[in-house]
Amino acid sequence: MSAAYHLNEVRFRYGGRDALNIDQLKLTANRISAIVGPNGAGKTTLLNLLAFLESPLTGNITFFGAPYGKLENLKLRRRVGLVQQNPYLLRGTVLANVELGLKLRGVDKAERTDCAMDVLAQMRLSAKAQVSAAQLSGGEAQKVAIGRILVLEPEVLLLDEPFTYLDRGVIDELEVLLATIRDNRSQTVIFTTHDQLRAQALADSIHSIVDGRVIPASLINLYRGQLQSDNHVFDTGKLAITVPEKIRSGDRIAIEPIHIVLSATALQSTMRNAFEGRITALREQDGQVQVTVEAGERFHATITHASLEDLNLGIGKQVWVSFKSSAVRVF
Amino acid sequence: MEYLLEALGAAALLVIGLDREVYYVVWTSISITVVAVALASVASIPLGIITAVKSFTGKRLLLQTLNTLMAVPTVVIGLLLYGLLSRRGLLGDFGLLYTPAAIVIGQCLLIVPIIWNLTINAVSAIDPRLPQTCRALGATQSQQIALFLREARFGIMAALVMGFGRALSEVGIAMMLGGNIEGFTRTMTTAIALETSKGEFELALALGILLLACAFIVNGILQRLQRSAV
Repeated sequence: MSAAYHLNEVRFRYGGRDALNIDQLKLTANRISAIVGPNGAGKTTLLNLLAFLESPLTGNITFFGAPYGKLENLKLRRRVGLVQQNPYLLRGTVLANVELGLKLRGVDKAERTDCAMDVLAQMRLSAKAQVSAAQLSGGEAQKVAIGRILVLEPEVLLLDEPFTYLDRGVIDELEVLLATIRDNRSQTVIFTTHDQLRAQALADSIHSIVDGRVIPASLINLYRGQLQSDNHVFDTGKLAITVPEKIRSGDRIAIEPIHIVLSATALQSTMRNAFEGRITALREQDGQVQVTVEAGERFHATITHASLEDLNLGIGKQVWVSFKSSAVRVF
Repeated sequence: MEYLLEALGAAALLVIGLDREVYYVVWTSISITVVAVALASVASIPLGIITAVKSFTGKRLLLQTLNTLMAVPTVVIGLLLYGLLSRRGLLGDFGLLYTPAAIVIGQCLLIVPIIWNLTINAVSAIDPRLPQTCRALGATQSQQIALFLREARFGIMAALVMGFGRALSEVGIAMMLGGNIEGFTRTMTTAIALETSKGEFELALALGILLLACAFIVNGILQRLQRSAV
């Protein structure tokens, strides 16, 4: 599969500190990729680089095989479409806003109005075409901002936290739109979110980012702390978690939810990590069950419906969380 | 009371009857002010945009000075320019004193701080997300500047209207630098002052009505602009 973007040794500084420090990142063409990370992780900075609004301090970005820097910036900017988090709509009508990108590209009036009206119809906003953009609700404004980019039919669609300011109904519409794009394999979409579960539901691939670095694990069970390499223990401040023996450095650990075993009693096994806790949440996700357990730290485990019934798990029940030291990734 | 009503009636007849003398004075006033606003805006709009966008040492002092100058008395400007333009003054050789050009210069100086300051406000009020939005939509450098001006257009037009209103209604500069010469530098405000002192109350009142009408129209435009800017 070809890559839409290939980032190599990319560094970016902002406000005197390293905002991004990415060794390698490949984002596949015609697929949906999610960039997941907490607030302030560098997601927006990364999208600004991918939208060619900022240039990296050092390192290379390859865009569909062509190295960035050899291509003209304006042309590149016009091949991608970025919908910003909390986007800004210009003064004027909704239609004028959706037409704007086409107008900047010199498309004639009749054609751009047709295209814009088509997109507004798709987004069920036809009735608002002549309404002033300032009068829209937050959700409608976000939809117009998305429409304003979709009408340009960019090769790459970049969405920065598209679900943050939306109400439930609009989120559903956007999820349907992304699912359609994903099933058609027709466009490269890259979106950022802090919601790991939503990313899993919508994206073909997920890249986690913390403190400007792409990390080789999901963010579901991510803990900060100190590694005590002499006894192979990682101290999160609340729990001491046993890690693989060969690890020498790192200040974060992550455990994939599928590697966590739940049991009603303490298990006699080779698993070095076992903690007793209480179930605080159950949630269905893609036909499986996400169980949240408070056991000093908060653990998320993925189990099947059958296991849920066998173990007779429910909110408030005591349960043991166990996992092998080799399941712990330190970085 | 009867005297006032009679005078009002006579004034109305002068206005409705399109009295040549009255309308010539109105024309002089408006044409001088339009030229003054045009000249002032050529300087103050770019200055306003630059001041708003750039940060530099002394910016705070400049803003404070501009705010002070917005309320400068017209007679002070009249006095200073009189000193420069009179025969013995630094610019006396140009022979500008008691010409429409002298009033234009004076009104220009009066409204430059107003338009400058209000342009700063208009540009500062532009959303900080605008530049990146333009770039993300694929705007070239010149398209970005055009979009920037378009976003601030209501505020800048309001600045021009404010400047126009201030220049049209001032009397000190027109009197001191124009000299109130009939058919040449007589403006609405200087004519009102003169006719009242002469006891020609009807003519003064007729001009007063027209000046008020101008102010009313200008304020109407300003309000419309402010409404569309929201």
